[in-house]
Amino acid sequence: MHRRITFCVGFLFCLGFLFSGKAAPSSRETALKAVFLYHCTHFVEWPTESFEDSKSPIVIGVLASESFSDLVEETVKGEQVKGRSITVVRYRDVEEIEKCHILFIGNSTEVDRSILRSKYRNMLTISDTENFLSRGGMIQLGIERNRLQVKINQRAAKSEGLSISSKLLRLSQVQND
Amino acid sequence: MNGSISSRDSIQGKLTRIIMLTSGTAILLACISFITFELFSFRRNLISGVTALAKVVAANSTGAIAFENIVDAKEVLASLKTRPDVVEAALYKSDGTLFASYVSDQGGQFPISPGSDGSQFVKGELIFFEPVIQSDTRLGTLYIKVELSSLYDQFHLYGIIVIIVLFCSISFAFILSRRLQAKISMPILELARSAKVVSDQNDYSIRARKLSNDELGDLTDTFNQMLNRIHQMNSELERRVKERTNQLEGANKELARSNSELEQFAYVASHDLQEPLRMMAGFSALLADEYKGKLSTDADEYLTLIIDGAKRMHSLVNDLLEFSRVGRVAANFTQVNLEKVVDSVLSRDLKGAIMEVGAEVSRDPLPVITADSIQMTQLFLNLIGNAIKFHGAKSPRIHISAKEEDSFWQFSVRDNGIGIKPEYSEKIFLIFQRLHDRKEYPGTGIGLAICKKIVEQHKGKIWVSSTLGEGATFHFTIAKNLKNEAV
Repeated sequence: MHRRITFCVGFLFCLGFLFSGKAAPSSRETALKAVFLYHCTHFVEWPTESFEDSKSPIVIGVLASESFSDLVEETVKGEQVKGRSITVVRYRDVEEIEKCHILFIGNSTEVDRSILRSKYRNMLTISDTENFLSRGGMIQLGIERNRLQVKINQRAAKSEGLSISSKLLRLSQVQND
Repeated sequence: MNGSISSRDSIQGKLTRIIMLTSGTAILLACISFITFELFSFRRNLISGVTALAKVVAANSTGAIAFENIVDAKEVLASLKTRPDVVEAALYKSDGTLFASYVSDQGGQFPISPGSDGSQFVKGELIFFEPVIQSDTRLGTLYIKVELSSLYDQFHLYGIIVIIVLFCSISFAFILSRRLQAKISMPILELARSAKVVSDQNDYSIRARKLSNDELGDLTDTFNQMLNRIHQMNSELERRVKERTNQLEGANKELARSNSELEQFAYVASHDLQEPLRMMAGFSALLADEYKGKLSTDADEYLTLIIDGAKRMHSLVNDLLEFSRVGRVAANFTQVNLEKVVDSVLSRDLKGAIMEVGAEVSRDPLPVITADSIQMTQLFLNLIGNAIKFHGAKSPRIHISAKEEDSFWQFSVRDNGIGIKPEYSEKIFLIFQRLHDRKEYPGTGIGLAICKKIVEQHKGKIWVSSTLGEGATFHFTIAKNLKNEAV
């Protein structure tokens, strides 16, 4: 009798795992993305009006799991970009989105074009969701052969007043449709 | 002062060497400065050039390091291929691990971790560590190694060029200097040559050629002026000497003529005087014999006086004859045994006089010499005779000695007689000089003059040393190398 119960519980657990959505991403892939977010700050130019002053920090808004947000925070801690520090803000849902310089949308979140036409301008949108670019996103991250693949819609970024360094563009696939 | 002169080194050689040394040194210094400057600026340019390149490559590789894109990193590093002297390049991440590398044909060894930023020369290679910075954040390090040997080849080329330039310049300088030094050396050599000719040939009519118009030209002029003066003085002197010689020759001829006339006169006179004298002496003696005591005492006295006078005149004429004969007749040099001569004089001519005054005559051993035997007899006769004659209160002690020298014999006749005052020691050898009254010491005053003439015929000298009252010593020398004159 006990043995049967244990077996069922175990079985249910496994099912639970099977049905709990996609497999959890490996830590390496997550780290790659978090690092990318940090490095992005070096290779993108925001217009001056997107900052209050020369000392205002660069804000990375993370619309994803808390663990990911923590990881990003960990990555950027103590770093400076052109004299600006980097702050990380976590949004639990779309309504919470406030003004930020980079908005990362985790792939578990439903992406709507509406998000992308947010009221906040000069925002770099990054996501690891598939077809992010076709939905109006600017940078799409993917993993292929254990390496980070970057696709960039430069025209979209440019229309928001953002200039992406050629050094980053060079390493990415540029899709301007 | 140390006045040593180094071994012979011609003016031409000196001048050429001076010019060569100056120009050679100048060129060498110029070349050295040039090369040194080139070396420094080369290094500087190399460092600045590669630094610029490193900065560009580092700037370009920020993305590759940031996004860990090895492919892109390799591509960026490969752009260094444009500089063939870059042998190695590598990118290190901020944690020091090697991220990507580039290697040319010659490279291979990469440092395990990057060293300090900047450039360094290590073992003939230039190493750069350039920080890779994006937006003030250091992402990693770029490493570049540059090998220098190919560039040093350029310096080899420089070196060869310098050597060729040096060689050509020095050769050219050498040729030029040989030509140009003649401007200085030719006038000097000409002057030296002229001086030598003048000196060797004693010809003061030569003049040096003036080859340049400078201090050397002035020297040549002065030299010629001196020669001129010497030449003039020489001619003047020669003229005067000739004049004087002529005068002297004339005077000499005159004297010789006068001398021989006098001698002739003396001889003839004496010779011709002898005859009448003999007659006078002879006949007065006869008269005295025949009529002694028969005439008055006055007459006897007169006769004695006549005979006395005749005798005296006879002796005077004899002496004169002798004196003139010595000068007139050439000496006949033979081997003469002086001991025999002196002994003969003592035992024959002076025998009577010696016994009369009780004189003692001693002599040293005397040599056999080359002389005129008649004249030697006369000489010793006169000297010893005088020694006997001029005795004082003591009885005469006379000594004859001889001494041999290198080129002559010296003889002395010493007596202990009345002596001679020093002021008369030369006068007594003059003819007819008498120091005493005829009544005190008889004599004609010719004796010593004859001795002097004889000694002079034998190329010797005669002199006296004496102290008044203590005797006199007569010295005379006879030369050793007497030869008969060719008849």
